[in-house]
Amino acid sequence: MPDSRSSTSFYSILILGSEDVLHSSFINKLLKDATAYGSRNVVLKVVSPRGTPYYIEQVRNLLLSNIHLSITAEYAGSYPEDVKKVVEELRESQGLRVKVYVSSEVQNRLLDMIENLEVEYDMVDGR
Amino acid sequence: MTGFEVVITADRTMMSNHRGKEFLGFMTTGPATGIPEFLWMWIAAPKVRVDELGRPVEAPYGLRKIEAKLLDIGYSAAVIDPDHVSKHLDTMKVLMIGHHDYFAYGPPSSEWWFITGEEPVNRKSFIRFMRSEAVRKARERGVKIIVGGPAAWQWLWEVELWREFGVHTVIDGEAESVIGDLVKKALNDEKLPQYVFVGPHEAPSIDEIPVIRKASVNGLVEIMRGCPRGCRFCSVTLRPLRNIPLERIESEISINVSNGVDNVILHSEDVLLYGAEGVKPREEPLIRLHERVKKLIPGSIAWAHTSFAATKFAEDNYRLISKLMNEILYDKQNYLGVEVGLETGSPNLARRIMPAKAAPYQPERWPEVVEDALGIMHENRIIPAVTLILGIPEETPDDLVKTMELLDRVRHYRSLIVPMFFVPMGALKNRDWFRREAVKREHVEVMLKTLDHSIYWAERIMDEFYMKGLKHLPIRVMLKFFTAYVKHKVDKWRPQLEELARL
Repeated sequence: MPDSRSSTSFYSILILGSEDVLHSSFINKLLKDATAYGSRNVVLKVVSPRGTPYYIEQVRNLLLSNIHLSITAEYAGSYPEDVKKVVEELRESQGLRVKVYVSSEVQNRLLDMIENLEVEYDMVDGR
Repeated sequence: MTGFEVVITADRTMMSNHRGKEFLGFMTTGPATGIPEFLWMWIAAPKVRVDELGRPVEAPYGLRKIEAKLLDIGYSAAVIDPDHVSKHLDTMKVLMIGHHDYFAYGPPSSEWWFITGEEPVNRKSFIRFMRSEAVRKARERGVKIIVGGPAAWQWLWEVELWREFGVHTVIDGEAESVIGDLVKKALNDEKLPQYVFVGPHEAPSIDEIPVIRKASVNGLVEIMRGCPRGCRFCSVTLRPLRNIPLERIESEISINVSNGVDNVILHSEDVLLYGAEGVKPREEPLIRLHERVKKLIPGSIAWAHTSFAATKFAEDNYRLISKLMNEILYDKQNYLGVEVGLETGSPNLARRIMPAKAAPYQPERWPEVVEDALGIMHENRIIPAVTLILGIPEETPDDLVKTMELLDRVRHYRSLIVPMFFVPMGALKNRDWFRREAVKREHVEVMLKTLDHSIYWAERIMDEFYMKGLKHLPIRVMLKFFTAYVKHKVDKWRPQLEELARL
């Protein structure tokens, strides 16, 4: 069920490999993208083989570098097919602002699948 | 009513009135030293009175705010003492937990841990509570566990315990605007996010901040939220400044008094900025606040925090400190306790990390502002617990020498001075922690100076002001013993520490 912030949030789907740890500078990219979408509420949907809550260690630098945005971190699964599921779920709610970020560790394997999803995407340095 | 759907709680180090003495509560941030842990806890965090459902007479203010918000929305929620959580296992669907320092990473816990090498009791007590039978059974029954409070960020460093304790969601920031949605999702068994950071733009307005329904520990009531000074190491300063209207403050005090809590702690990052013009205190709102609060309470008033700059400005321009202490509060109390941040004695470092801390004075005048304000406080029987930060990023040995020089100049002023190690928060929260291997000779010298200062003044404060009367005699005797023990230990370690400082 969507909450009261859903319609104003910027949804970013992060696809990470098991060794990826986001650098704190990723917050600048996220801030820029969220602002471009006119939002200060970011929902991070994280797909990572590490599982929950261990994926938090991969996004900790990002969370600790943020002081301006409201950020909600949600675990979205371990496998590439989970990305498709998340995108489809978000599409069901009309008008949501969605972007996929894929780490360098997994991009080669997943690029075709992401392109087929016809969703905006970008690369992130996961080291 | 036999039980609640939403149970709000904390471990014993938080769920206590610390015998009506907030300073005693600080003992829970250290390891038990010189006496067994159970005795340490008995002194610093005794159990509170509860009703038949385990609802405490006094509870931490932050938990009371969450309780009030959920009751306003219409949920079946209550703050419950940690020893009585099991009474609600049949009805509980959400367990909410708050803390100031879950894992003892905050100041001053991290410093005691660093010095003694032993885990502080607040960390041990919290972990013990999370492994208790009541919490284990709640977890087994599928109860959703949501944690929050000022120390929420510490969970990001304790992911293994996060998993072990089965925490569903960590909320960081002012929770009023998000808590309703989260509890609704938890009650509907919907998927919960693991982490929620509430940004400054979602800080609740005055109207969204609820009035507490039951008494807070030692009568603490919030008079402001946020802070205009913008210090880079502080997280509070990122949030907008809001003055709570007098009528709301009075309502909360009345609730405390009607529940038998006779004293009040006015909570703000800087009490003297209540109703201020920017960072310049104004006489009228402060006089009115204290006069109206005084009429409501049978006991005494304390301030949670103030600043040296506001103290100096208020006295120099309106003789306001003298008026408050000698014309308004004189027949209520013979002293007033408050926590004040000194952070550094170096104008250079002050300019870099807290450029507005001295405002409306220039940062170059910071040492003079501190010295003058401590003199004003001493004259007017305001007893400050002063905090220093060691290991701030960009700190140089020369900055520490400046701090030592200032400590020498203020040694005649009644105060307790506590050095704390830098903990990454606020705009510096992505910076490195201060580590043991980074300790310099000057840090050791500053620590020894503050220890000598605080032991000297602690004995005099206890003799002249604190815990007077027969009912406090056993605790006074123990605190005297503890002070003597610390003094003995410091004297024993002094040659090694001085040797270390010479290297």
